Amino acid sequence: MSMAEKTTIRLDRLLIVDDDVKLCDLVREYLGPEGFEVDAVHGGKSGLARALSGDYALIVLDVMLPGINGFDVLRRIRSESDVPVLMLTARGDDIGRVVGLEIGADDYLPKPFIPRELVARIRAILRRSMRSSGKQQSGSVGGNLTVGDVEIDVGSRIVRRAGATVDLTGVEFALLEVLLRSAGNVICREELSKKVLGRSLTPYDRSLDMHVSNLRKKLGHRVDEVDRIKTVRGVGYLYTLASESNKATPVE
Amino acid sequence: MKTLFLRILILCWITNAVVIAAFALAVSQLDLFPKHQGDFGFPGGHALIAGQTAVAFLDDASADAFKQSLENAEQTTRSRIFVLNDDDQDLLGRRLPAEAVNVVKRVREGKRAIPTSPGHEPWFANYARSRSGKGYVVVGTLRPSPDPPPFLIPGPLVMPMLGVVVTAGAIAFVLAYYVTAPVRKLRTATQMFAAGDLEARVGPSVARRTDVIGDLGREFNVMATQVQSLVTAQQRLLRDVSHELRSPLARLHLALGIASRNAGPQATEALNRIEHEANQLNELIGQLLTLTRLEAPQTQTKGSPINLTALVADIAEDADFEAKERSCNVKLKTSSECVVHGDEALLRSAIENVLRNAVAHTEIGTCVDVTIGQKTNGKENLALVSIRDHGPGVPEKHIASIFDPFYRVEDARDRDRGGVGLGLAIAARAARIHDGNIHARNASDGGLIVEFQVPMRPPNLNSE
Repeated sequence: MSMAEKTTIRLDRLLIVDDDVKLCDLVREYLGPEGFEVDAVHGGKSGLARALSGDYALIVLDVMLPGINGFDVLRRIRSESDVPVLMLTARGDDIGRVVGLEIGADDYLPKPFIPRELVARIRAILRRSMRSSGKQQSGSVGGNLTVGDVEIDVGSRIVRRAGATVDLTGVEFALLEVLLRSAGNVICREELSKKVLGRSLTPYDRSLDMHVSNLRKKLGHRVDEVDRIKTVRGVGYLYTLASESNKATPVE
Repeated sequence: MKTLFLRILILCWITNAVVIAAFALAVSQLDLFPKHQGDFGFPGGHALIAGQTAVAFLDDASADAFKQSLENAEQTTRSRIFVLNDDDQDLLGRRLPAEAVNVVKRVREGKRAIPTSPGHEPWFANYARSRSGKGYVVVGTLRPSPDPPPFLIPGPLVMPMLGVVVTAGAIAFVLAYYVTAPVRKLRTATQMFAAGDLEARVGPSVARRTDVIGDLGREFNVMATQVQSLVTAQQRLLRDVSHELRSPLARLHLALGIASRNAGPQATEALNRIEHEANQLNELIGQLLTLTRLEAPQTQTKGSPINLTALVADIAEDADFEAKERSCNVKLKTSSECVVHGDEALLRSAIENVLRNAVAHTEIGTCVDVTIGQKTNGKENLALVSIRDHGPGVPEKHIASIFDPFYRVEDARDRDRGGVGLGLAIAARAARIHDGNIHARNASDGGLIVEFQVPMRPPNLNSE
């Protein structure tokens, strides 16, 4: 929780954890002119240690690593830190993708990836985390937001449901915040994708839906016998305004 | 298998029955048990009683009826019966044998009625009285051989014969079962193996047998192990090759990115082409990995319930977006909510592959129709996703092969439309893993219809 909040982090320092040395060199070479400083480590254990050092704005983590695999590294990172993680998953491995997002990866990119895509994803994640850390520093948009049984503290990024703390990943928190701010209104997927993932929607990309489904799982699918987060087919999502439905009948 | 069982059963049954019956007949011919015992204490008792009974009703009966009843009595007791009047004349007018005359004489003299001399037919005689009190003498003898074989005579022999048949049947059943049960197990294992379960082996109950069936079972297991190791080695090779290709390809993409940034405008076109080809390779490797994952024997579907209707709606929406590039659209028609059980990611990629294929092949400006509904095949309910394009269709001779990996109907044109030739193969594998199937046929008015069916499980699993 604490590492990502350090104000000393430079937003252009990235860490790539991949056992392919030549690939790491190329990534460094490609991302250099884009304005990023890239460090590379080639093993899971050393990658974990460096990722937790707090020196990096973002970690690019390959799933296939010698020794300890990428999911385990991610799990251990998440137990101590909220540093944004972009997973490189195996192409054709949908399960790996889902698992990665469930554990708390901020986004994923199937490998082999197109370098432009890598840059776009990195920028999207950084924009989002910058926005949220900016909020924390200024405190202007901070404060509490309560809808029904869910209460979030935007400043400390703590989520409580019926008083009990719920552990959310960075993306899930951002998603919940956007949904809660427009509770009772439908937000289209395109807008959600831009606000939460920092990129526009592409066809056949279901990561937004996956994050929503993770959020439902963590918060509970239903509140007061009504779907907590409704899918509005063909449009987007809607967070049920449970605070009103507590007293009145649910709005359909 | 059933017929083998039946054949063995019937053959053994008949054999056993014949052997047992022949044995019984032989025993009866040995005359181990005196033939005439049990006839009310003395041989021929039945005959006399039958005769006396006939006489008792003599008064009321006509001559014909009497004759009839006497003949009946002779037949059922297997004897000859004479009824004599006071003048020792048979009432039916038959000639009395000399021996019978002797016996009758003895009876009339008041001597014992059973004076059989050894070596002769035993004759018996006794008085009989009709109801009006008129006296007669009944004399009779058991008819000597040749008798009909005892088991051909209905009556007291039915039960023993039934016993023979049942016993023979039971023995035959046990024998047939003993022979066919291990063969059946062997067959089950073979079927499972053929259906793709490379782990299928014959159990120890067969493999531990010391007979020829046991040999066969062990040979099967050896063969199965051999085939399994070959197949898995081949699959692993394909998977490893695909995996290993990922790394150089990832590096190639990066190097290409660096090159296009540094190169002048005159190289742009060539670099774009390289990028396009690299992307094709990328796609190919991705689909190859998906396919090898599906072919792996341990692939099991996860049983979570999936709202197929919502899933298809999602995919159709994305495909509609993509189809706009070709001025086409995708129309979805839903007739009912379908919930199936399985692997959502797999079903998604299966339907997505079919739908994108349809979008790629439909004529510009036309639409692709997607319908989802239920049907029944008599045994269970199926969710049916039907995808119809308005393209050129597929020549009939190719239509069964379009689900084979890398099968192309027309090389040049298909490549223009993108895709690497594995999409439909993946869809077919995914359908099979979900116990479903996939078919293609040409529509009568042009275009291809692909139907994807997956069995639906009982609706009580639907939580919604």
